[in-house]
Amino acid sequence: MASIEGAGSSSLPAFPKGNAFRRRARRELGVGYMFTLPSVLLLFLFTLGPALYSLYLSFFSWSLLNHMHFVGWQNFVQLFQMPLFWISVRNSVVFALVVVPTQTVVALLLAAILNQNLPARGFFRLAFFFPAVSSSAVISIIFMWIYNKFGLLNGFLSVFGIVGPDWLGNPSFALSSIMLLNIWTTSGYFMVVFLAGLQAIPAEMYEAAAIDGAGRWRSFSRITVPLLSPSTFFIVVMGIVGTLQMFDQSFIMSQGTGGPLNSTTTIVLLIYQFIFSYGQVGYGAAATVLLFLLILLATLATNWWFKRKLDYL
Amino acid sequence: MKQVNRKWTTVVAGGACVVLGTALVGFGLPEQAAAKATHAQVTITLGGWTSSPVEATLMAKELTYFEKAYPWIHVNYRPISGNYEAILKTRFVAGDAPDVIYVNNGGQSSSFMKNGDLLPLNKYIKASHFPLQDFFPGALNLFRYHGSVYGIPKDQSPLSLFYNPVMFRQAGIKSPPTTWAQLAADAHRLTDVKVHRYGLINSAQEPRWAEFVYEAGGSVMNPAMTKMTLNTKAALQGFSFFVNLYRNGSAALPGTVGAPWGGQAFGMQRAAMTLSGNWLVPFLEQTYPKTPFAVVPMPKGPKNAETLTFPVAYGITRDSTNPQASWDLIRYLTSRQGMTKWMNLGLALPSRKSLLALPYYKQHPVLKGLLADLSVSVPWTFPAGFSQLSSTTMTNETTLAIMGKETPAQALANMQQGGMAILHSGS
Repeated sequence: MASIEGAGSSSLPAFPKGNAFRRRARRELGVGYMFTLPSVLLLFLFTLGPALYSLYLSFFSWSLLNHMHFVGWQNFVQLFQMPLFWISVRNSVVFALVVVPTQTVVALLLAAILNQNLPARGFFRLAFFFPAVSSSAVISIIFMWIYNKFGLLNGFLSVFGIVGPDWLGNPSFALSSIMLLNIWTTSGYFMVVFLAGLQAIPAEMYEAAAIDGAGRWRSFSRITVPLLSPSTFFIVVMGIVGTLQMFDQSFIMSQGTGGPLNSTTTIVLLIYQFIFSYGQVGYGAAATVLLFLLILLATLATNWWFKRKLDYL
Repeated sequence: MKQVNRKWTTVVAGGACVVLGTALVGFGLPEQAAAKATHAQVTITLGGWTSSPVEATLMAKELTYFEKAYPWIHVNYRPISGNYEAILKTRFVAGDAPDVIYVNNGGQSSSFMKNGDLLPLNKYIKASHFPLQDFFPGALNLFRYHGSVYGIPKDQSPLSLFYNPVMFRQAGIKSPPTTWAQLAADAHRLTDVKVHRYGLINSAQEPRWAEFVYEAGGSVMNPAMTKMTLNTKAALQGFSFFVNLYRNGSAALPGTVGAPWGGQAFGMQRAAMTLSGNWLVPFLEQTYPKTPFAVVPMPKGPKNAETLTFPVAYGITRDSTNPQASWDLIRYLTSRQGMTKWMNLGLALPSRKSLLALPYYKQHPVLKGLLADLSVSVPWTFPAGFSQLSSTTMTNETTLAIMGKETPAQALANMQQGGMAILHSGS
């Protein structure tokens, strides 16, 4: 760095210092942009571009195969009047409302336990993290066997004399079954995030609290939980985004139908069906825009809530 | 077109049908040899789905024979795995659809033809004197739109009644059902909930009950597909018969016994009967070789003996850069000889009437019931824009009726209304 600066100032002696600096800064800025260009291009090509395109498509009627024509807000109007859309919104929101708090609490408890000096700690950390690195499709298929009418779960229940239902074939149980699977797969991943957060809490805090006479529960609730707020914030936001976008598990476990009786039709599954199965790209695109707004609002609300909480500390 | 037909009819009437099949190839060869000199080398792509890796291997082998007969055409065989229709649509959007594709029944042919995704074949049919009268008219009509032919049926499979003869014998039933009354009685007698065995297991999808509607003298839509016709007494009679089998416990949905579809429930010996197509035969032989089975035609209804059939065709896509070579491939694969080879694999049944007499079927008497149903079968189809109604809505309404949350009449009324709404919106 020093040598470059030296070379710069010696080669441009005629210019006033400030001007040369500005020019170098500009050149560095240019180099910076050059370095980020590949990523930015990819981002525009595969993320922002399609996102903007789906906004554009939400104002058109198109079946993928015919010529698209402009319909204004018609797709949105139709969606709002469509019971199936509201069913999917309800499914996704209920799914998020159950899964996000549960997986956050489970992850926190797992992390708190595995942060202790337990025997075989490494094994348990690995075991809980394992679902996060496994393919969601493979896990879904394994769970289809577990949830089968004559599967592992009902076999286990029959030991206690309980005749289990056809978990995925019964509209009252199908979504809950997927919730359970989802909590199991994501808790391990978020546990690792909490573990990292836990390691960052200085041990002196606990020592000071212990000297002041705080018990285990008190130091957990008054030190661990508040100081984990940044991790919790991250986990809750990622959880909301992930659960509201849940698609793969519903798609695989209902064999693409969102059934039985639309009980597992999530917003994203409906979007997929609109676009690729029903030939109603406009509805799918409009639902995408609405899903984006829903996630944006949920994230902003979470942000506001955590900020307020942090202020009180 | 008419002239061609007349010429062919005379020849066929002359009793030279089989001889002609060979003669066609005999004449074809020198013509092809001559063409070889003038034809530039071309490559075309064939896209389709495969039921098994075996099918893909055999198809690839079939194509090597074609390339020997047409040395200037190279075929890239690219079977599409996964969701065929969705992937194919994206290929159309990209302007990169394969030259030759499988065109499916159940509404896919309607929407592809309506949107102009397939090339009309009349020109090629005429130029190569390709006779059409040997094809089952129903199967061929599925790929006809505004007077043009858009696909040549490659094969089909009707729905027939698969039954487990051992279970029948154990229950003291001498012969499989031939009427609705017998079907209901046998299903009831064969059901034993304690051992999780049901008389009949089928899913709630429309093509598992529509045949009952046809047999009661009703229909799902009028032949021109401009009206829903589920609001008739006959439709209600057929649909109610199906629903009541479930309501009184002698039929069940596949999930009840932990199976994803009726055929598998039958293979698992949880069902004494299931309505299925030819595809169940290789599935049972490979996956459940210990399950005894036999196939008989669909039991006769109060009005008709009728069932559904599922024809699949070869079509040329609008993206094809080489329609002539594509047509040569289709003509080869759907010719009497090409189809005979395909039929000898046992994956599907012929779309040509003359192939019902194949020696293969004498060696495989289990297919007799299915073959008999071909002559009384209606191709399964819907107009463009019906995929949501036919796949999701109708299944849901049927499920509600089976669960007793709706009467059969209510379920039919909802389907009727849903279909009419689509037809009125003009999409």
